[in-house]
Amino acid sequence: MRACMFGLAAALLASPVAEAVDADVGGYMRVSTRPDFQGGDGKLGYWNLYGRLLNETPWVALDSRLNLLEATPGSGQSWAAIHARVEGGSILNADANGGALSQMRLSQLYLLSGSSTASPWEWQLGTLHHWTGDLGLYDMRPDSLFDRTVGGAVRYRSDRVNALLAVGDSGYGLDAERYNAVLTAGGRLRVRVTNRLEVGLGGEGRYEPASPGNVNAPYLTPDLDMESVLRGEVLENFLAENPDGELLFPDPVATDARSWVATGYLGFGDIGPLNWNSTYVRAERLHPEAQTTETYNGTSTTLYLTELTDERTMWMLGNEMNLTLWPQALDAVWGVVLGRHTDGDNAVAPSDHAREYASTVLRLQAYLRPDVHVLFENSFAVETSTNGNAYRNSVGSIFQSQDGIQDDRGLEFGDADTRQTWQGKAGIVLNPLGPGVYVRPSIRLLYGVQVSSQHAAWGSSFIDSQNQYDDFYSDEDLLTDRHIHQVVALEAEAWF
Amino acid sequence: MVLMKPICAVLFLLLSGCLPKTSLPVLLPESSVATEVSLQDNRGEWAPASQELSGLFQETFAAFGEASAAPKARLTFELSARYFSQLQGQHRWTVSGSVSLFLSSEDSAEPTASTPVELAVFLDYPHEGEEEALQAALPLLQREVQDLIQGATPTPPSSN
Repeated sequence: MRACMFGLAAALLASPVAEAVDADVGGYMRVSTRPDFQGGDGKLGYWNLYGRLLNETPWVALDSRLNLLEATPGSGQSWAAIHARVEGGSILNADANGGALSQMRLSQLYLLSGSSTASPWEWQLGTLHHWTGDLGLYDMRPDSLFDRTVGGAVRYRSDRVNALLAVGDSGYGLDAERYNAVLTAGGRLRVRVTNRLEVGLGGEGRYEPASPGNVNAPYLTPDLDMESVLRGEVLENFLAENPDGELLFPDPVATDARSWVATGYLGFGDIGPLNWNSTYVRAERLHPEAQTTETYNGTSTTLYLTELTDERTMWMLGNEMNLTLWPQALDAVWGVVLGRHTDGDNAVAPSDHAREYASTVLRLQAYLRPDVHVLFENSFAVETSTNGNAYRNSVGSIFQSQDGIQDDRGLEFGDADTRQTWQGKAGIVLNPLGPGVYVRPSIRLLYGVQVSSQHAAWGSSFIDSQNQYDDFYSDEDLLTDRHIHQVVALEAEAWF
Repeated sequence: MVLMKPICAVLFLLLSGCLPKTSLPVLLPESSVATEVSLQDNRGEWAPASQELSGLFQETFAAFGEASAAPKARLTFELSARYFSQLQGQHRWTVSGSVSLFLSSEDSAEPTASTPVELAVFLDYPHEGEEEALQAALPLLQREVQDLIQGATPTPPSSN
């Protein structure tokens, strides 16, 4: 499908019509320098759960709209346009990837067409990624749908109602190296009940049919248990029970795979100091993984994981409230994120699929002048692993796990199942276009501090293996816990 | 050390005072400015802007004239707003059309000066539409109008 879209775009651009094509290019950029004297990579913490500010990487996006057929308003003429977006997170001298084009991707390419500019109906063919809005403080899109789908959609846009019905294939999006068709269908409906109230519902279902004989199709290897898979000992255990029995290893059994997403949106505002409140919910059953390979004593075998990874679910609630506390003097944005991930197949090891998290971020922006602002942000987050320890609270805790008892065979890590993180950020913001928390372009000089219950809770170059300690720590006094991290950042961000 | 905090605060305020001022210059000192805003919808039909939006435009561009002077200058905005796409948490719209300046107090069909505009603006929320896009375009339209007036009016002689 993507090849077809590329071909279509190339053919249209190379045709004589292309000379008359009207194009509009938009985009986004953020670039920063954050010299880190604490061995870090410039990010204050691990991820955006503590607020995107100072926890994000550089980013650049170019979004173009080529009007292939431009209709005069009121003429009843049909119209067609191609949207293409190239984006990525690397800029020369700003990150480890040196601005390599390999870090950029054509993340969106679709043809949009309609019978006339007055018609509310539109047709979309190509990538289908769709979301209502963002949690701006977190840079998260909890209600995104069709993130991995290429196909066709019909859209309805009017003043009060926005609707989308889509069908496509998520095979390449879910596993580009082992493509197998994954039929995907769903839609979204958003209704503006009044000017102060909007509601939305959406959903997406995916079905990957059994396809005996296709090595990329979903299969299950009988009698797999999670602990052996995680330890990489399935083949070893089998051969211990069946000496010289490589050929007796169970054959995979074809099966199908299903997954789904359900989303909701509630927006309301224009009530006193509240400009707008956006609430997003998401529930998802993740698509099963396909396979992994194990090698033991020179013998390799493929383990098919569909049955062992088909009970992963998550839900997430995100809320963001935009307030004007003192008109033209002080604005606030308050965000909350709650989430829970469960894995019915794994009760033995911590993972990203067995955790809970809760976070709140409050940003205050005061306007000294229309173009000179002062920013304060405060965030607190608690993350809990529901399958045992996952975090190191001490520099020495790598040598112990499971309540401090040394266990070289343990699947847990560190000495705590909970990580608590506080971040405070403050700085000066220059906004040539005036007041507004999200008004850009912005030039920011920021200071941020993080206090975490986890030792060295930021991307760092500290050694973490025992055999390096003698080399890099000559003085025992240097073996200190690092719970505080500070960065200073000079950043620029703009939409255009 | 005790004095460091107040010293830093004072230094900061002094430094911020050195930044360029952003208030609009009075470019038409002998005239007040009247504005007319008309919008084209996606059916191609033109209609006057809502009272709220017209009021906002009037309030914004009146600053280029002298409020107490007789109305001689007129600014007309013929604009449309079209949705572009979602970009990193913002909803990009394109505001396009033309801005015309009439410096005669009498109704004249020919503007003194006119300029086409095509501006990208960014809205925070999906429920926001054309009206919000045009409001968001005001700071950029101010610059366009400033250029338009300065190009259409003689430059005052230098004091040097």
